[in-house]
Amino acid sequence: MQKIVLDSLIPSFLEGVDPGLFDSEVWGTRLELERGRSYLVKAASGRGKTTLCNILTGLRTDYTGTVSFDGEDIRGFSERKWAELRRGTFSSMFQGLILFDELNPIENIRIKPMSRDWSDAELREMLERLGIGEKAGVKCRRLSFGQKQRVAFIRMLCQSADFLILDEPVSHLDTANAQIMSAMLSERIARDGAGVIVTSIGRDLPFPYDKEVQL
Amino acid sequence: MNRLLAKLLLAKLSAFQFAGFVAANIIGATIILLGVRAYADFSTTMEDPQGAIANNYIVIAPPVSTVTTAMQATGFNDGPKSFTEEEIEEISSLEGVEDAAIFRSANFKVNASFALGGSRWETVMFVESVPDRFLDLDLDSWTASLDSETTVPVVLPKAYLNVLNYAVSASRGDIPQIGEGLVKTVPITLRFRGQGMEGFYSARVVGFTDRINTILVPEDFLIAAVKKYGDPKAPAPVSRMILKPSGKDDNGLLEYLAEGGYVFDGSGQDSFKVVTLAKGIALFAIVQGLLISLLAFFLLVVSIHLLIEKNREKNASLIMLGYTRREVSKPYIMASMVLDAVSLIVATILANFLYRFFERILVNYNPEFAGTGTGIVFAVAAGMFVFFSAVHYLLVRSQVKS
Repeated sequence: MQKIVLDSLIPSFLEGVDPGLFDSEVWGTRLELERGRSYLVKAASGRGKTTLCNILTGLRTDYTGTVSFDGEDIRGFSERKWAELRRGTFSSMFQGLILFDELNPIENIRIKPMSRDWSDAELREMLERLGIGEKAGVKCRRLSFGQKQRVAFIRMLCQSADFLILDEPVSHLDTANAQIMSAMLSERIARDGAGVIVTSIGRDLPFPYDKEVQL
Repeated sequence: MNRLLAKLLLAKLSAFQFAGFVAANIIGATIILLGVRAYADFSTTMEDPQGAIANNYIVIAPPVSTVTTAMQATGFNDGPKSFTEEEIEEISSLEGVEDAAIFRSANFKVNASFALGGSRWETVMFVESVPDRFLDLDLDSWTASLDSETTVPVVLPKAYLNVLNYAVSASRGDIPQIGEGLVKTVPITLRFRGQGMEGFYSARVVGFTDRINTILVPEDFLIAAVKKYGDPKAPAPVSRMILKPSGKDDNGLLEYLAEGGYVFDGSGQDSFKVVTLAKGIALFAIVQGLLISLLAFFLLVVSIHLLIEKNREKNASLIMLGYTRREVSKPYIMASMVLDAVSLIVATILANFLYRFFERILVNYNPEFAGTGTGIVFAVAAGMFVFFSAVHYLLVRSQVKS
């Protein structure tokens, strides 16, 4: 997929509110997101960052306006179509992380349906880069939120996709780890030219964004 | 199936609940399978392969009331009790009756003579006939005509042979004991008298039956003989009927006959009653087994339902990660199918093993017993598996979808 277009998009929780009041560059306007470009979506808490990510990945449909992928309105997409999109078009790092406490980091990465098999060595190397190599076999319930964030980030990187969606990826990370994540993200984009959409509540993932938009 | 997915979703599976299901389902399914096999065996293999009339036919006579008996004794009655046209029609149309016919009797005098042990024997005989379809004989030779030189085939009650062997032969000493095979070789001469005419016909025994106490001749032959020797003004009474139970309402048929006071003729009643009772017991066992199995199945359905409820958040997370609902449903469906399969396989083995003991009893009852085999047990077990799996599939899919 090459392009996502949001046109007059208003999520249900903002219905009836005058768009002029919240001065958004996303809600109620037209916004184009292109593959190969990176976007930082900034907003204060409660402005709908996660809602935006969920609308883009088909997890929420309570909105007005249109969202189209390469010109196709996403409203009519079937459940099967969304499963395909979540496997091959989008790769998400959720704000809630979506990790399973009873599985270790390697298992949590492997449980994601992906287009290629990653070896344990490759996954360990990525975990080590982010300083949690020794946690590879530890059940996730024993990891801190920051450590879990790094596991979720690696899982997002492992899936090939046209767009990478990162919902507040560094909210619990120090600058050093955020820098490493940024480097890993850049390497990944250099490889397959995916588009990047990052949301931030103020603590940004350091990255040379092509465009910053206010939600 | 995705190993990690199964590990994740089945982690909270309650071993105690599932062991309870497997144990209960093994008991229930074993009872069902034993019942089904017993029912099938009772239904198909309890026939006496030796008789000229299959064991699944019954012969009935009209009720004998005390009034009738008294009237007959005092000469007020004009003959033996007879079935009325209405009765014949009503009995034929019962749900428990697949086929029915009357016995035709000769209304003329019949004598039979034969040579045995150097002596010539002559006796008064009663001959009757039933439609050919009720006879388990080689029907090609079951025909005769009045004007031909052909031999008339007859079927004798086994009791006659017994009387001859154990009573007459034993007391006289000069008459050898004879078997069925030898009797079939003895030439018999039938003498018919009536309407001022007399006719002699050579006859030969072609079969025996212990189902009825009458001598049977081919129906076409008897009809022709009645026409020639019988008094058209005094037709023979219809004193017996032969019924083929449909199997749909054996109990209803028995009840109807008992209420109407109809009398069973020959040994068939015992066999029919025993088989009906045994089938009833087998059906009762099947119902008990079904109840246990359905309760066990319900336990499994509830357990799986609770497991899916416990995993509600995980199921949603997996869908967010890109799984389809079908993929998320799969571990639950597979788990229930495996549990169903394990319990049904154990039940099948157990049922076949236990049935061997029962089979010995049946063989003692009827040495010719061959049984319906294990096929029906496998078929019913497979049917139960398909049914259980289909219901699980639909329930799990609809729950995961919601």
